[in-house]
Amino acid sequence: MRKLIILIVFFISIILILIFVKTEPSYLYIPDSEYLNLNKINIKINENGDKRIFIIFEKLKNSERTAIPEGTELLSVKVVRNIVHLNFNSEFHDNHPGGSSAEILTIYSIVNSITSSMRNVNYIKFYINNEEIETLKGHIDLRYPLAYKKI
Amino acid sequence: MKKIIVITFFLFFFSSNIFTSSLKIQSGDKYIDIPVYLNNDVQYISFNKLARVTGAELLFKPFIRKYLFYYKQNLIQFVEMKNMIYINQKLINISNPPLFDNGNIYLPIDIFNHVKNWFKIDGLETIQKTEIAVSSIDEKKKSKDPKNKKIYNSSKKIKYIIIDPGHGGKDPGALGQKGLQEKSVVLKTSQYLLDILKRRLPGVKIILTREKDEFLSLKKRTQIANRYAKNGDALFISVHANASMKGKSTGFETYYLSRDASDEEARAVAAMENSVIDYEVEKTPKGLIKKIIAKMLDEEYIRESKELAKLIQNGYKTKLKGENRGVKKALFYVLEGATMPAVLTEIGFITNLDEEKKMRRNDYLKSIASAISGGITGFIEQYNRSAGFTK
Repeated sequence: MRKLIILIVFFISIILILIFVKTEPSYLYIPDSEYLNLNKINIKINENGDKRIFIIFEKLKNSERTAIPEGTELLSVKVVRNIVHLNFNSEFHDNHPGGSSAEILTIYSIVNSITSSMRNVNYIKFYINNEEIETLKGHIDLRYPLAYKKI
Repeated sequence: MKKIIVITFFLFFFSSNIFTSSLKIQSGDKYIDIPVYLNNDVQYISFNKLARVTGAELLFKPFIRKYLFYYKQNLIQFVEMKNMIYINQKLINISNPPLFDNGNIYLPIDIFNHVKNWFKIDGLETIQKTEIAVSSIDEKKKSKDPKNKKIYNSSKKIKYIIIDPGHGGKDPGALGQKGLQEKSVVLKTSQYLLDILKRRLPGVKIILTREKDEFLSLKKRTQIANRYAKNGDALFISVHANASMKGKSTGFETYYLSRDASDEEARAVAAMENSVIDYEVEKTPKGLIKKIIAKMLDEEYIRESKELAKLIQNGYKTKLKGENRGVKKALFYVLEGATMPAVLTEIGFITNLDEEKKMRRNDYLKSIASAISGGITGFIEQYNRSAGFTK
């Protein structure tokens, strides 16, 4: 009898874990209609790991309002403990309009979307063509990984 | 001549009455007497005098209302009315809160029980055992020592303002729809700002990080500023024009640097992964003290920067019609590592057609410079007033 109960509890917990993993919430942070702040929207992504990051980025790029410069591609992703290293092509820099406000929207739409959609990720570090960068267009310090910030 | 003799006699008589007890503290190769004062049966020692004798540094930080006493890599921090003080970041209870009188700071002598090894002191035990009737601190006012006040007045006034026109050279910054470049707009505005400040603040040296269309790394800009701000008696104002992905956005905003706990953590994680050497250095007490001091000063600069940002936004609001987008926090590279209050101000959206058109007019840029200078002079007035150790 006791063995049976333990077995049942074991199976129920496994099922719960599976459900939890499957429905891990994911969010996109996209510019509001005035391009002043970021709005949070719910999305559904079933994939995990690196693939999940690529999908988040594609969704950010193709959303109705985007802060990602035209032609930007996410070339590679590396997850090291709770830091995600993102490597972009040079369009990320070249096609960005500059200015503090636009730069903050671009950087934090990526940082906030990924950190809030990946349970074990807290920080994002940016690279262009595999090289470390100091800033995107002369404002936010990108030498260090960035954490979620309310914008 | 007679008068002088009489006065000297009186002074001598008086002072001998006041300091019926004293401590001997080593200064160089000799011992110097430091008087012990009695107030409500508690023995106090003047920290101004102690700082002078030992060569320590005594500072008052107006914005955080903290007093700092640095001595050979050691630090005591205290505030008014509290008998809890920090000695090298360790919280210690002393018998009574510090006293403030006429520009002098007095701490109860039991402070020496906690910092005994810092100084060579003679007569500490005897003085703590004997009860001597010493005149109160109030009476001490009569024997005014002009040197006492000097500590506060030095390095308390803003002496330099560093204006940093954003971008330049190969980096044009943001672009207007009609092709106006941020780098040229901000250079002009900064030059107008320089002229206005020079006129308004004759005692202050105003510096531009770049005077022509040239490329300057962000690191270089802070380095130039820090060269002048050795005592933190400077302000750093980076002048930029904003851009938006939508042409509609307009208005002014001013940023200051502020790190959240999560940002600090991100850096700590990154530092630990990147270099073992840095981490080892942090472990040594010397490194630790340096870090504490740096952090405290940071805390003060952040408050001051926020205040400066507010006043600059106020300047825009009172002098110009545009939208006030307020004071914001951000992790901007150019504000990092500035050892002084530092802000980055956005003088409008170059991506907005109307604002781009206005930015082509020199009289408009002059009025922007005048608005910013209003904020800066307001800050300096406030800073110099509160830093003047008024009690």
